[in-house]
Amino acid sequence: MRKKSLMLAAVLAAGVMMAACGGATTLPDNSQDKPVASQQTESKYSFELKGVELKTDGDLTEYTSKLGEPSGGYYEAKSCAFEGMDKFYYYDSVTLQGYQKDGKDKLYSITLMDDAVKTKEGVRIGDKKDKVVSAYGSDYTEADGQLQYESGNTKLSFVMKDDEVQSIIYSVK
Amino acid sequence: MKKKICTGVAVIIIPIVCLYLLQCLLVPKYASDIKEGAMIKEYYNSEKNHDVLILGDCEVYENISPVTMWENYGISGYIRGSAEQLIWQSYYLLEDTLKYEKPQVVIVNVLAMTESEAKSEAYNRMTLDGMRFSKYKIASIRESMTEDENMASYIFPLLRYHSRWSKLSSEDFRYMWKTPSVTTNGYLMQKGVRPVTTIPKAAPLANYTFSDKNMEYLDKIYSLCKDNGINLVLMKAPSVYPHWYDEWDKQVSDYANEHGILYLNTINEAGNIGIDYTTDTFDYGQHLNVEGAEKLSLYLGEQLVKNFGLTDHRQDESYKNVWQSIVDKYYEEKQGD
Repeated sequence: MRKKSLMLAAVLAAGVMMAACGGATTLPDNSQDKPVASQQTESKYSFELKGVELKTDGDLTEYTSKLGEPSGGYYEAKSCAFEGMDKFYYYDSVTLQGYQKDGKDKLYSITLMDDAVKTKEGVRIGDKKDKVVSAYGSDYTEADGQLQYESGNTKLSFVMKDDEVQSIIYSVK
Repeated sequence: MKKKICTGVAVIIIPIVCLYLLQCLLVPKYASDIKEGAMIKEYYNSEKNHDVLILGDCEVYENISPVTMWENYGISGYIRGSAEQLIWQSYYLLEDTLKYEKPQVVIVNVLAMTESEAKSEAYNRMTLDGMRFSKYKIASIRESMTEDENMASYIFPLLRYHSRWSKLSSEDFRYMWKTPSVTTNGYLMQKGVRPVTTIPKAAPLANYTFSDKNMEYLDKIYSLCKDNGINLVLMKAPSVYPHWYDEWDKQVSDYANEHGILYLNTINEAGNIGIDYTTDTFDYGQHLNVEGAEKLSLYLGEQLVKNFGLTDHRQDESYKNVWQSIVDKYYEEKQGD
């Protein structure tokens, strides 16, 4: 009788453990802190700086070696608690932000900082919403003061204020 | 009959004990790696006689040294900080703390006002797993969970960590029952120097308004402090990144003015405080190293004494012994490798 009870206890314990088994990973980490680009069709959105075509999730090391020393400097920002750095390269009128993916530095975002530069489609900071829509079409979402277009793994955001473009950001979707 | 009852009890108790032991073994200890995960739990081992409670993210637990405030002003302070602590998590930690003690001053770092939702499970875990079970912990979990998380795995962490068995290290066995202290009254000491060489540029945002949820929880913190006769102080720690926009500053400043509370924006005061970003930061100006934290704490202590007339406990026997061991630990760490 006692043996049976102990066996039942063991089976119960094992049962609870089995029930607990899900697909959880071993330890939480911040790998999902930023969206990681999935394999998708190539984005139609890219930005050209000093003759170099930049695409989100592209090879950041290759881009920065072609572009040369950033005129406004370079900045590294650590995330709270975890290893890994966000890297910022401040070129004239444009900021590139890098992230780590599979141990390599990739381009996370391109931010246009002033009206000295424009997108390939001809939109620059200070332009009206009509011009954005005329250049990119009406297939956008409008949320939190931004017009957002998506293609492949890229999200293209136009930050608006009083019907004018305040900044333009290409980022990993 | 008696034998049957004993057997029945054993059938229930044995699996529970086994599962409990497994849980103790499998949960992460955060003793030598990602120490931030161990901080919230540490508070429960401290002496509950704090004049000042400090809540917030890494901008508090890496920037403020309670030992400096003790040594210079006799202020007994504790930091209940955690990585990426959100404003509602600060609120529930305040509720949780009030079960044990009632500080005279609560300082809340306002960077969290800019984060309207939880970023990841990893950060949630570091704040929530360490809280003792209570209705406040449950409420904080409910507000914080991301899409893929579930309440059961917070109440029974074994459900989350059962697959760690293949990653167990000697640390998991050594600290199965008691994890070592990783902070000094909530302060996580950083000793390196990485000077600021570039001031990061800030791009305009589409929306600078703090979320309704964040404002609601700031109101709750304010009301809870008011109801308990606690002085609330809002603080923005000094940093060069992330950028603290003027629009954010105005919202905090207006809130403080409307509610008659003190707001210390130490970004603007960094020069007066004596912070030198070429020597006092360990990560290019995001946070202060121990030298910078001591400077900021001197300033904070001065402000607290000036505004709230906190009592100097340095000659108070009921504080002296406890604080002597805290101070000893602090200098041992500061002078160590």
